[in-house]
This record gives sequence, C-alpha cells and structure tokens, in this order.
Amino acid sequence: MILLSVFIGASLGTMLRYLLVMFWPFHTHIFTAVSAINMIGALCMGMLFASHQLSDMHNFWSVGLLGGFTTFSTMMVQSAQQPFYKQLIYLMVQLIGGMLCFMLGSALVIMN
Amino acid sequence: MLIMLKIVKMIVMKKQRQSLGELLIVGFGGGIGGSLRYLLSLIPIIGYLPLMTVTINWLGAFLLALFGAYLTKNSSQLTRWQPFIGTGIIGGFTTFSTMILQFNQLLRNNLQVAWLYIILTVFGGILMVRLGQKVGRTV
Repeated sequence: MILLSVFIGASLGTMLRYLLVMFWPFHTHIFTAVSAINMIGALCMGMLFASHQLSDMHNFWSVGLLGGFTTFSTMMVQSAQQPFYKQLIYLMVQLIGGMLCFMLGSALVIMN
Repeated sequence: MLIMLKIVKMIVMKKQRQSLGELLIVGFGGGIGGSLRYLLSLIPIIGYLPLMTVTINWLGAFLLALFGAYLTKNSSQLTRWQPFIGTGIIGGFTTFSTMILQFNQLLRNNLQVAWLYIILTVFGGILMVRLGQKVGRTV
C-alpha cells in the first residue's frame, strides 16, 4: 500500500517534470528547467518539513511526488556538458538556491 | 491575456508530435524509479550519514551518464527508450529535494557531517558522471 502511494506520487512528479522541461521557454545554460524544478521541489519540501506533515502522507508527498519531481542525475549530467568553472557555477546556483528555497518554504509555513 | 493564450497554443501545437503516450511512459518509468528508491531506503544504515541517498544519487548519475554516452556513440534501438529509462526511471530514482532536506537536518545536529554529506554527494556525483561517460563510450 505504501509502495503504491510512492509509485503514484513518483509517477505524477516525473510527469510534471517532463512537462516543465518540455515547455520551458528559456535557452540559458546556467539556469535551466532542471534548476527551476529542483528549486521548486526544495521550496515544497521546506513547506512540508515545517508543517510537520512529514509523518502522515510522507510517503506520497515527499518520497513519491517531490522525489520523482526533482532529479539529481539530470542535474549532474547537464552540468557536465559545460566547462568546469561553469559547471561549478551551475551547481552552486542550484545548491544555494535550493537551500534558500527550502528555508523560504519553511519560513512561509511557520509565519502562517 | 489573449496573447498569452495564443503563445501557449502555439507552443502546444509545436510540441504535439511528442504525444500523450510518451508522457504516460515517462510517468510509468518515474513510478518504477521512485519505488526502487523507496525500497532501497528501507535498508537500515548505521551511522550519522544518510549513505543510502548518497548511493542512490551516485548510482543514478553514473547510469544516466553511461546511457547518454552510449546513445551518442551508437545509434541503437535504445534511443526510443530514452524517455522511459533516462527521464523516467533514472530521473525518478534520484532525488534533489531529499538531499536538501537531509542536509538541513544534518546542519542542525552536526555541522561537519552535513558538509561532508553535501561535498561527498556533489563531487562524487561529478566523478560518477565522468566515469559513466567513459564506460558508456567503451561499451
């Protein structure tokens, strides 16, 4: 039953990611669709974390949906297509941006 | 508003050849990848470091790089499976949000372990991609 909810969540998350990548209108190399996806995912994860909803529907939302939505492998492979210094900038943007989004997400929940 | 709708319509028309079927296939692959990740995360790990997430992300980065390098070198039947295997299974298998969550949790408890975790994941991931590309070219 848990496995099924993870499966459904991850399916939905992956389809969302696929659609976002497909309809992403910008052609930049430092901030791509994957960057936006990972930051949105981090923001939502921060909100979930702060709202203490991690226990109930944890498997569907966090392991499934957000886990399937965000991706580490695509980020890494995409970063490797650039010269090393640009690769580091690309990764730093996502890591620092992801951290900030996570904090913003939890702050938004705590304030309300 | 009307102009925006028109632009969206144009984009949709352009992309129409990539059908709904591919979307569903990608979703199915993502479900498989996510389920695999969940099953692996059930294996208990001793110590402070969430090593399973590191392993999952390394493995995913390695496989995706291998797959990509293989496809660029050889024109094979597998190209048709790229959305299913690459975007779906491997993309759904690895996770960025859990990594950020665990980094945040570690930062509250143990600063050194937190930095070790993030450095291990990211630089290990870079190495894994290079390794995967190398293997993918030779296979």
